[in-house]
Amino acid sequence: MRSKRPSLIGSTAAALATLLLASSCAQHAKVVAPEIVSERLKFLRDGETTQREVLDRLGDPSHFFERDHVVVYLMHEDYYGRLSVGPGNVKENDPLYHLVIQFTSDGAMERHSLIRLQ
Amino acid sequence: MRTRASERLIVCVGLALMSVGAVGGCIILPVPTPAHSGVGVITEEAVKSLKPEETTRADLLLLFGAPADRYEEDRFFVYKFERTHGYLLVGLAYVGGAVGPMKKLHYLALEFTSTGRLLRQAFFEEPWFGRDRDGSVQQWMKEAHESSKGPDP
Repeated sequence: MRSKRPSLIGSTAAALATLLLASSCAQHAKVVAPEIVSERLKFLRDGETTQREVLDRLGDPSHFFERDHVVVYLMHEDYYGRLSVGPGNVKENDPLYHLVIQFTSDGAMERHSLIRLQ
Repeated sequence: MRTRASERLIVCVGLALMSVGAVGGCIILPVPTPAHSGVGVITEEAVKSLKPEETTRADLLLLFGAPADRYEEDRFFVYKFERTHGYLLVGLAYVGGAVGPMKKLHYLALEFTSTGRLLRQAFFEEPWFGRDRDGSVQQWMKEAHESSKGPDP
């Protein structure tokens, strides 16, 4: 019974160490910095890009809101940091984003944001 | 009352299993922590910045992305995310140890006025036991219907 104790203590210590590591990996839903968005989706410019252009480049959005004045694309980031529309071949820890674009009634892009989901 | 009785039963059975395991050289230890991490977490701090009657539906979409569920022509949005409430430690003599997070699904429910501005919001979390996971959210929406402060139809 004596020899079992060190092994059990070691196992518990290892588990506690893993716990500490895991608890430090918090991740929150957050809007990605605008410069990152402009770097990866260079054609998106508030006040300039049109709804037609967005549809031509990115295809149909995943979600429509506000009578199509707000659209959302599900985007996937691959190993090389490239963003593509759709979930793609997502692995468990691959980043997923929502690209949200608001248009004016004239069809010009008013605001946009990229939100990291995971 | 049924739920409470079943919760007590599950806790008792869990404690009994942990005691039996400990005698046999196996430690099963749930370690509760403040809710902290998870995927796509929306924090209370982020929601505090929202202003009722001012923040628009579009503002929210640009901040949090598309909701998991939408009801009644977007009068209600429900965002879902997971938070970790603790860790389950398992240590087995001569074999090793493992740790797994104890996760819970959380909900942020939002109601908008007929003009698309934020009316109210509330956080909910699923119960540890039971099948009615989003019952509190559904109840909240039902109460919103009954409230005289609701938006004009």
